[in-house]
Amino acid sequence: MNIRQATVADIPGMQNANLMNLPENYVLRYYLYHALTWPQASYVATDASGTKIVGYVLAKMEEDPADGIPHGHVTSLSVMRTYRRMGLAGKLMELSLRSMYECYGAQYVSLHVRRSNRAALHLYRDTLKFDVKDIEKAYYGDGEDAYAMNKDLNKLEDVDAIFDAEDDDLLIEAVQNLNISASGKLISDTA
Amino acid sequence: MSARQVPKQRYLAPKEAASFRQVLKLYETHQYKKAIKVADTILKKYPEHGETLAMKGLILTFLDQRSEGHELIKLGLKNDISSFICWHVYGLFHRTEKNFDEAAKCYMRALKFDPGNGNILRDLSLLQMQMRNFDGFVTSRKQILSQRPEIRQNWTALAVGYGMMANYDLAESILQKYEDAMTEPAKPDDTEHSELLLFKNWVIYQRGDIQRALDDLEKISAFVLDKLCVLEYRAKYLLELGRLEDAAKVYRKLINRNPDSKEYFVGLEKATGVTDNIPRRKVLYNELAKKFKRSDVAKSTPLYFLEGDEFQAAMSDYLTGLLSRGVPSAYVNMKPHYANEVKVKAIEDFVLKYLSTVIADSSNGSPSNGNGTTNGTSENTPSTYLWTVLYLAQHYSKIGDQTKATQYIEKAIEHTPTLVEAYMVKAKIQKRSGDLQAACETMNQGRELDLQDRFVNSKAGKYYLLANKNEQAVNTISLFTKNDGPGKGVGDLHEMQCLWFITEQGEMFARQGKIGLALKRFHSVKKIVDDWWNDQFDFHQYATRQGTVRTYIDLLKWEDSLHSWSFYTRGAEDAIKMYISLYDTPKSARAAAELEGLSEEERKRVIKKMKRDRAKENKKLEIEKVSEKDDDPLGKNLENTANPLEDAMVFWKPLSGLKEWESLGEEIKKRMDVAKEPEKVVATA
Repeated sequence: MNIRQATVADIPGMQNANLMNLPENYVLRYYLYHALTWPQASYVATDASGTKIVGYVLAKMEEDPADGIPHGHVTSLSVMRTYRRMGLAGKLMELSLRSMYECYGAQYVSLHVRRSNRAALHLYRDTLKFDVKDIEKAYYGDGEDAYAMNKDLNKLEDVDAIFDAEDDDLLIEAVQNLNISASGKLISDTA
Repeated sequence: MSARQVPKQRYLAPKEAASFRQVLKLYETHQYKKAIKVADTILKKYPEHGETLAMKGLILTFLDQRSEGHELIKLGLKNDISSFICWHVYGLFHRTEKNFDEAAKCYMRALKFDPGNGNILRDLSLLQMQMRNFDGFVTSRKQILSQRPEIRQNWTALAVGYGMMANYDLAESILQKYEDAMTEPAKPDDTEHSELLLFKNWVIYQRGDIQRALDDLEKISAFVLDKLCVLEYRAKYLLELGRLEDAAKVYRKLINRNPDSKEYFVGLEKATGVTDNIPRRKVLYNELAKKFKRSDVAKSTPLYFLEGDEFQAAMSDYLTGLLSRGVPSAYVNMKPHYANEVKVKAIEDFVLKYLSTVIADSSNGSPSNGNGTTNGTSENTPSTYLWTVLYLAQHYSKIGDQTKATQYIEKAIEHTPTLVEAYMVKAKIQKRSGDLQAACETMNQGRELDLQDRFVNSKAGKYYLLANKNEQAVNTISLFTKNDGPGKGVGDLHEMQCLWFITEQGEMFARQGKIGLALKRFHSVKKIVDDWWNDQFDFHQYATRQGTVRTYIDLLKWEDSLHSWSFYTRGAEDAIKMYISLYDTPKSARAAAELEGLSEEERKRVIKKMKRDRAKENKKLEIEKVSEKDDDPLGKNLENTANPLEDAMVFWKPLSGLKEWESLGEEIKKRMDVAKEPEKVVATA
């Protein structure tokens, strides 16, 4: 398992995962448009071999926000069924939200969920702390309603600051431990 | 222009000249119908006016009257062959036809008659990039830059051109010049500026001067919005400069941001110097796994470098975690280790032992964590048994023991008859056992347990195709597609560029001997990938305007490798082989082979059946048709090609230069050479 920012070369794999998993599909050009407008916003998860895309989040900034507040929008998120219960969707989302906040100043992020999709609702509401803002009638092509959900990004913690505060001593300790364990027969070490 | 005399054929009275300017304006603002009306008033007085004819023709092509438009453009050009407008228009026409070579030629002619025309230069530069004519691109962009140096994207575009030529010195100096000339500081939320600072930093790094790249990075970091990228570059530079302790700190920071990135862990390994030192490497990962409890990379990576007892211990910890949590991907996470026989045996021993403790514990009525200890931290649930037998089914199937695999999967289904995953695994076992009919039925059973999930729907569709059951496949996948077009969901899947389905269906048709339909699908694969290549065109200008040129350079390089990816090569190989066999066994010979050795009676019967089949096929046209405009839905024209080798060449051409496809190309060329010899032509005719 490997999670990283999406690159252009990942796009056919993202499109393939989307077509395998979800009824809302897009041509490749639309993914390219995302990548060349908001290159930092989308993330992928790959299988253990690192070659196959097994999950992705495709995200963007709202181009003409009606409320005048810069905010992000999750275009599509899915994880292959055979790779579920690893927390991939949540991890992909967290990374994407941070990028939208840092790179594009997104104040909040919005998305739509099918009313019947309880697993997704659970992820957004309970795990990622989104709020249900509205119910949009017949939002999907097949007539199903959507929950319109938002998450305020101003409450995101400064991840690097947290690291600096509590992690440095742990780092040093770990390195020291390594040196001790290396001091015996392990001399072949080359940096 | 004003200094020159307007040639007679181009002259318009002031009123019509004003109208012509209006036509141009209306065209630019996409008001095509109005533009045509105005053009017609000019043509009333000047019916031969070349530039008006050409413009009208161009606009007609946008109103879906392509051939009429084309004729008018040619007529306009004939009437005014020295008009830059006529040549520009003809170039634009070729561009919409994706005939980039011709388009570029027209633009060059246009520039001859109006040197330095900014619009034409820009259009030409886009084509030059599309065709990877970097010298030409740089020449055009230099001219554009000298005309409009105040526009940042003109500097960016030229720097990209130098970047693509690997001339990073010039790329950097161009970017630097613009920065030096900036009169006011960039706004703090200027994403274009932020991206371009990183682009310049990337360029410096490409020049090989890592220390200077690092210094530059520290200088710009306050103005760069992409904090993650700054950290990634910094870590990489520090590592390459040998400043290992500093690099390690940055990699820790990166892991703290994303503890599931392999790249960061590899960076930290290098920075701490543990890569070739297994005991230290193990300690490092243990520390990280303790801290980042949700990280799969921290837990799973040691399984790759540990051996023997250490592997055994790490593997059993890892698998216990997955199985007790009921993670469906437990097996796929272990798959890479199946290349190592010793590890496979260790895994098997462990999981079997684990299963027996699970069984023992559950018969004791006490909750179990499966490994026989009672440390009380286990998240074990009654379903642990289920996930463990499911794992064993996948395990035995993978190592080729389908009998044992079947025993375990039956246990899983018996325990929980509603688990979709169990049916997916069972279907795969049946597929591996060679029973494709049973496999697709099983997959479909799984699908019926969760009708809302497209993944298992796609799998069922795929398995029907593998079992040559087209109708069931199409009906199944159509439950999740837009079905208002022809061919049920197949039309939608073409539109949405669903390569897996199109390729699988093509291969199914090939197995069934439906040559035309198979070729049809393989051509669709090629068309989709060709469209992906054409898609880049819109971004040549867009990306320089956005500043996202690092991503854009990735795009250009990826596009250049597009046809070497398996999503193309699989369908292309299928098509090439099919065309070669069409050449080796022409249609008459194929028909004769079917009738060979049959009595008169039998011949009649076979021919009658062929006719009946054809009638049936025609009835099914609606299903096979994937777009309204298609007048050959069964691909009969493709099958009846007069030049199968040339058709094969069309698929092979994008693979030329790729080593692994050389021999396939040889197969085509060898036959082409034979076909060229005159006596052989007679022989095969």
